[in-house]
Amino acid sequence: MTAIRLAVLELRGFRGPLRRFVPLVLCLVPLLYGAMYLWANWDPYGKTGHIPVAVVNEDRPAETRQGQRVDAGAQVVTELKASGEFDWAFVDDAAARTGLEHGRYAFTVRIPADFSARLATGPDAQPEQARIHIQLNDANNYIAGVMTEVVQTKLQEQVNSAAHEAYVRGVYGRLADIGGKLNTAAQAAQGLVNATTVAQQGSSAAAGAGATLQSGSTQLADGAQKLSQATAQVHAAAAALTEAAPQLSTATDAVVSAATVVSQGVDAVHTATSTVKQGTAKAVADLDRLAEAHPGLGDDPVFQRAKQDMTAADTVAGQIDGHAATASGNAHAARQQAVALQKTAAAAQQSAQNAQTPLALVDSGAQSIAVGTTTVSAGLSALQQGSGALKTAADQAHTGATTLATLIDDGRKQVPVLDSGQVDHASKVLGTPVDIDRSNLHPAGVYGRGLAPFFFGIALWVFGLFAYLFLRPVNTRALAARTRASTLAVAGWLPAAALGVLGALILYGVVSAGLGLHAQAPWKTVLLLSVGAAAFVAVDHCLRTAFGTAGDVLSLVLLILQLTASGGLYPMQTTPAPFQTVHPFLPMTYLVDGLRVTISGGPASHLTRDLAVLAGFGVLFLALTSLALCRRRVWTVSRLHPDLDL
Amino acid sequence: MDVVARGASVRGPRGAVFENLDVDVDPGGLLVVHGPGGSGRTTVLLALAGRMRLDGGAVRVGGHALPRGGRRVRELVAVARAEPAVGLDPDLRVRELAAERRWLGRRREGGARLDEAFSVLGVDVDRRTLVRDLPPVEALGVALALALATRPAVIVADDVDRGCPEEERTRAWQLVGLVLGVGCTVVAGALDPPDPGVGLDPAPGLVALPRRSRLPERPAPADEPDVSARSPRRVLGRRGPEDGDARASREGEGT
Repeated sequence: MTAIRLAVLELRGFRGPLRRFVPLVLCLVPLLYGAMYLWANWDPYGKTGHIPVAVVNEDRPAETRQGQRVDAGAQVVTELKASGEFDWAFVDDAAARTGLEHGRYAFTVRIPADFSARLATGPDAQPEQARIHIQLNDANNYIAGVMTEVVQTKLQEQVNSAAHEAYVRGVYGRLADIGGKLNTAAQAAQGLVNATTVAQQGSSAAAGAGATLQSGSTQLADGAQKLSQATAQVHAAAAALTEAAPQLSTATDAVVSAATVVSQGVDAVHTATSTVKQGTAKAVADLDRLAEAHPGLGDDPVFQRAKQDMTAADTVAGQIDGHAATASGNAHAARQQAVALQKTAAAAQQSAQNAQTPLALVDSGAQSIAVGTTTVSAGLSALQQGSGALKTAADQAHTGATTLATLIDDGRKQVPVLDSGQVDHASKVLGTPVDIDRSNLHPAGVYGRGLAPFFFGIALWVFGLFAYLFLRPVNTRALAARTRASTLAVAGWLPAAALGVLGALILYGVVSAGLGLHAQAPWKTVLLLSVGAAAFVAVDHCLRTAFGTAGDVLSLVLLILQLTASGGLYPMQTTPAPFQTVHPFLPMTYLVDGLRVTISGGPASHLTRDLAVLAGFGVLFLALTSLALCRRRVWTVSRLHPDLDL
Repeated sequence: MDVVARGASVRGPRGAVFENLDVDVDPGGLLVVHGPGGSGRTTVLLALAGRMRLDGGAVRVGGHALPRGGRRVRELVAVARAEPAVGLDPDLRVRELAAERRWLGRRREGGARLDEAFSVLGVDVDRRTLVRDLPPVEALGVALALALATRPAVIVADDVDRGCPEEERTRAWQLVGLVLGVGCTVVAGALDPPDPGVGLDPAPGLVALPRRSRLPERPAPADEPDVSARSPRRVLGRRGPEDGDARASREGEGT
């Protein structure tokens, strides 16, 4: 009670034209620190549409090997225009470069000339990655560069969908080819099945034919036996004929001898007649030369008669010689005929002898045939077994062919046959084969709402820092009197704590109404802010009480430490180890954590813990302040005249 | 209650404020520590009130030696005013200070004691007045009355003659005399020792403090040699008239 009264009194002391505004100004300190930043940056990512960005499209349309036209550069430009993600300016390369250099554009997006050409290689064996260049300039604004990461992702999505249309159409075109070929293969397999069916039937028939052939060969063996007997009889007859042949040879020899004798006699007659003819012919010739040598003699009648007689004699001699020549010829011819007969007889004998050998051959051949047909019969048995095996093989072939046909058919069914709508869908799906589904247990929404806990924490700490620049940490009259230290501590803490809570409420109210914080749990937020403000003030109060002005410096150091180690900005895991070590010992850690729960939602256990820890910080530091005040009842020179005063 | 100091010393970061201080104040007696601003007057007063850390020597109040008996000493000695350590907020009203006084005691000193103290000292001010608007003498009266209401054995009050024109100084010292009148020992601080004409009873013991050169804002007058921080042993005795020059220029300063 005393503490409360003293606290009220402390605030009553703010009188005077300017001093009276001190509590009010203090109440607005959290608003200043917390709301101003949040107001300025409530939703920067939602306003990227105001950021000027240059787009340079140098792309030239291309065609895939399948003849599909790809104009991805234009497509990207269209999509960018439609998205309005940034304030796009479609300019040429030079304008983009100078603009980026001079800060007219936050960054530039350049679609190179080979963009479509590279995309068109999608269906090829070695597709190439297409590129888009984003050029930043941190000299203009670093955060603008960071924001491009958002657009980079979106660009990637848009471009990928465009690219995959080209890719997938090509791939599905090939799929259709494969389908057709598999159809052909299926037909061929069916043909094979049919063929093996025929082979099966054929091998069955062959087996039947083998049986028939075997019975035929048995008959053939019988026939061969009979043939063999017949040839044996022929052989015997031929041997008798051979024995008769030498007698005929002797007879013909005699005929030839006789014909030779006749021929020699006739030749001698012919020689004599030829000599007569020559004499007569000489006598005629001598008469002619006499007539010439005695020209008058020719005219003599005697001479003429002699000559006529001589010519007649010569003619007769000629005729006789002619007959002798004919007889000689005939005799020769007869002899030749006799020789020919002799030869014929010899030939006949030879033939008889010759016949002897073939007959023997025929005889043995017939026997061979008999033996052979037996062999054939055995072979035919083997053949029949073979044709059985053939049938089995044909059966197996048929089974195999059927399986093959089924397999090909199945394969063909697995190759999708797609219409263009399905290809569109497939290209969309394959364009982003993995759709990362992002959901958020407790979404904070905009940037400002996500960072509100952090800035609330900063605001409340800064309030504590400011408060004791204007408020006395302790009532010195009370310190000099007999008042309990704990009462003094509370009395010194309470005015600032009250103003802090008020400031926190103003901050919360303004951010809620003005910026649309929409905390999940408004009352819990208010409660947590109040406890947080009270705890932070307790810490600042303690530092100021125990260390005087140096305590303010310590508080400032703590503020900076908590900016980095309270986990309000970046995840703690990204900070160096010392920050992670102090993280659990900083009060702002718990305020930020708890506010996240009350603003965005989260486990109530966290909130309970955070409230408890913050209250604990408050109590702990009030206790420490009490301890410090026990010592502060005795002054020192440096306290009486501080070396440093704010 | 007697107040005794033997060889007491207090040193600050810039050297000794005082050294080897010997003081003897009888029960019901008055000690006036006088000297210009920056001479260490307030430090001496706080030391004798058990509210300053001694660096040497001893201080005893009613037989309780510092620092061991500090708690008991602080209960016996009330500090009416020792700025900047203890003072009245200029922006508070008299009645607020009165209310505060009632709250501060461990056992509530009732409003009656307070009224009694005001009446004993003859302080009759509009309780709604802000301290800053009080005439200096009335402010002293309020401070003394607030201290007296706690029924202390010893009252320490600095700057008794601060801001007082000549004619009001007598009234200021008379207020101190009234406190003595109720049997309370008083240790007072002032620029100048009280005029003997005031007729204080018992007669005050005096401690004169020299100006210390370390305060840069006030160049030492040529006629006053720099005695520096190491003050020699103070001798109880009445003041000489040579200290009067510092008064006008050092008004309102505590040390």
